Amino acid sequence: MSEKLNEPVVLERFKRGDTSAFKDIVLAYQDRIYRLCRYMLGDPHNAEDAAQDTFLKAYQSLKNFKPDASLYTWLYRIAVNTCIDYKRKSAFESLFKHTNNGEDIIAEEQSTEPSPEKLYESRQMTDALQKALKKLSQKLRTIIVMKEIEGLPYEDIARVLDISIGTVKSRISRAREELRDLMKGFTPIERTNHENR
Amino acid sequence: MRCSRAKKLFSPYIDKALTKAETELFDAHIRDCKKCRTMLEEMQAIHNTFSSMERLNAPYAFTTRVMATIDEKRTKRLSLFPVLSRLIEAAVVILVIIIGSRAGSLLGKTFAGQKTTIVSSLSLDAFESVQPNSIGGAYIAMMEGNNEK
Repeated sequence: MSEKLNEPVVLERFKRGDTSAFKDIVLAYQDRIYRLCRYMLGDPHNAEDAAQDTFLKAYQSLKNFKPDASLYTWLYRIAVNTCIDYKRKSAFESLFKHTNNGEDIIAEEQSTEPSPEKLYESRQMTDALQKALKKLSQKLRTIIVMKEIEGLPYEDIARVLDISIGTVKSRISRAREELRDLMKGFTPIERTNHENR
Repeated sequence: MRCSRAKKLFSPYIDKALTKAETELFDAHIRDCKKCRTMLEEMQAIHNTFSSMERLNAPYAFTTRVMATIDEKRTKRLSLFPVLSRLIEAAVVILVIIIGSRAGSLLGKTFAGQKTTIVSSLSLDAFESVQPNSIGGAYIAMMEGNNEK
């Protein structure tokens, strides 16, 4: 499904009571919102629930939406807040029971096609990166996912998270540095150095 | 350019957010400084890995499930509406009764000192006697006849 959506038109349709307008919004943004929730929460079930909640909240307040920001920026903001709530909830629940620590974030979505050596290396890098991502703080993970996976520009990230562009840049920079530290021995450069020693 | 300055530019360099002049200075430093070059290559490798990562998509029939949940909630709200409207009607009736009784008791207190006036104003003397040839007179005559029997 194409993610291109004529936002003003679809919003007008929604305001006129056309329920299929909201379906178009979900279809257009479901992958991006789910992906964000998945990277923020790790667990696929929680991610799906959080993504669903995001759209339900959006449905309830879409009539009050002021199109001074884009719809997807607004949806992202709801998704980020929903994921933070889920995180808090699961942190609270983990006080009372042992839960899976989110190790299942990786691998299950990866292709099983037979791979040559390069592909194998790239798989290793991807695995290492996913593991490193989990070790980042919530703040840094959210911002690096928005930048690197969703490809959002600095300005949109700033709008979603309600922070300055300067803060966005410095957090992205910090996230990259931390990822580099966490992935020591996994990046091809590091591996070459290790092998040469 | 010093290494400390170059390190701050790694991230915007990757995002292609440096000005032309900054890029030229940075490139010159990277060419000469092996340490910074290695660090930049590591960061670049991570950036490339992100780009090549498989994009996760929403699960199958996700939109259908979202729309079904919305419909379910809307139906629930609609089915609650008749019950709510009955409750509101009942509440309005009760409110009217309460206001009426309060108003009555207030009026009673207001006229408490003027009892005689009220009584005299409500006295039957205020009514004119019924004419015997009117319909009312005929009715009274008929009723009196019945009572005598």
